[in-house]
Amino acid sequence: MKYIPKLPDGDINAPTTNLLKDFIYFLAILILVIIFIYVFLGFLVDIVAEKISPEFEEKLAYNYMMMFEKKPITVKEKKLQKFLNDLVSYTDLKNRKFNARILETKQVNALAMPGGNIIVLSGLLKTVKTENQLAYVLYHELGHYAHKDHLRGLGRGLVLSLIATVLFGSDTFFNRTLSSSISNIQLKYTRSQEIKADLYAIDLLYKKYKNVAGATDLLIVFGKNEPASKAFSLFTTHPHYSDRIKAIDNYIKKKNYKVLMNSQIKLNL
Amino acid sequence: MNRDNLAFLQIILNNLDVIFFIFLVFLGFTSGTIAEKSHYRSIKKREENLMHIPVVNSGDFIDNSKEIENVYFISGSCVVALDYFKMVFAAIKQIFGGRIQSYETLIDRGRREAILRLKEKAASKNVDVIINLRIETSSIGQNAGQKGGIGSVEVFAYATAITYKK
Repeated sequence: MKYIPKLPDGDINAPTTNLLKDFIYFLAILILVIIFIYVFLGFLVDIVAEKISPEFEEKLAYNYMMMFEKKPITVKEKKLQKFLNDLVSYTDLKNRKFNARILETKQVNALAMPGGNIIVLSGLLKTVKTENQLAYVLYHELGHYAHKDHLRGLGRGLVLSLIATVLFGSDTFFNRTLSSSISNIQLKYTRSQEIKADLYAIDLLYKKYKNVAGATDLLIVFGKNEPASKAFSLFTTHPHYSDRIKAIDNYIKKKNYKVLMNSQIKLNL
Repeated sequence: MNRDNLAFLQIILNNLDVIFFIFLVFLGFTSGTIAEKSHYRSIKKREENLMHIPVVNSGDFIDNSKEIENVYFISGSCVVALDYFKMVFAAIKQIFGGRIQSYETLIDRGRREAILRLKEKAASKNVDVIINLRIETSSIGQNAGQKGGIGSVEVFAYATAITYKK
């Protein structure tokens, strides 16, 4: 037996294919598959959201609200709850129970959470001057409940995390990255819902006060801080404020609602 | 700072993790490619230099006409780390199936480097023939043993080295 020295057989075990090309190819397929699943399941969520009962919703919301359950209800929250109950009595949602809780943060917003839990951020309470303005914001949130937007949002969020978990396992870096990158697409979905909720709020504001003053006050304040270019509005939940204000103004004109600026009621919380 | 710039900054801050991810993939690809190319250059050069030492994985490759002077146990080991691009590539490939080329080059480099180190040790001892070459692989590092992540791979090559009486 004679030993013939020779080098290893070239790069047979180390392919010299262009990895970047392959990477982009498979990444593109993966993104297409995810978009397909997301859109398909999204449609299913829309159908299911219409049929979810408030009782089942409360079960879904249980985990969400645990962080609030532990905190005692403050005097301010009691007043806010009373105000909310009064507002609800003018709507078709009379049979449902709504809870108002305040979250201490500088942000100016209110959130419609599952199970009829409306979270008002304390920054909003500092910004609103009149009862009418706050009523508008709360009616806007109630509009989301009336249109079941909160369940659609939750459902799509669930679809997202489901895709990420199945593909990459729970709580991995991929999971978090995927969720946050797709949520940008999801944000756009809620834009038409925002305007729908705006118009719903206008109707009810008029029903309660016989006057729609204060409706666009906050939107005008927000509008001052928003970017001048519309390109950026693609990345935010709420549509460009000027678009919303325009839609609201047109609606008020169409419906012939009265706008009595001086008859707004001072907020007492 | 005008409002557009502020909004742009906000979008960047909101999507910082996505941007960081893309940056890591890019960084992994460039640094990984550079490291791999230079490693292969070094491997090929050293393989040529050490080609004269016979290595076999069989046990009966001893020249019976010569008298054996010494028998050594020799080993060489090497740890190669994954880069971020290779990891993401593999994660995506694992969904579709097929060859994970990014790991193939990594393991190939590890094996050849480990054998080279073994041969370099043998060369320093003037070994005449290396028999019974064996290779073991294990994953080590932060994510070893966890699902969804290999930190780095260790390749361990060991063999029996023989010197003949001159």
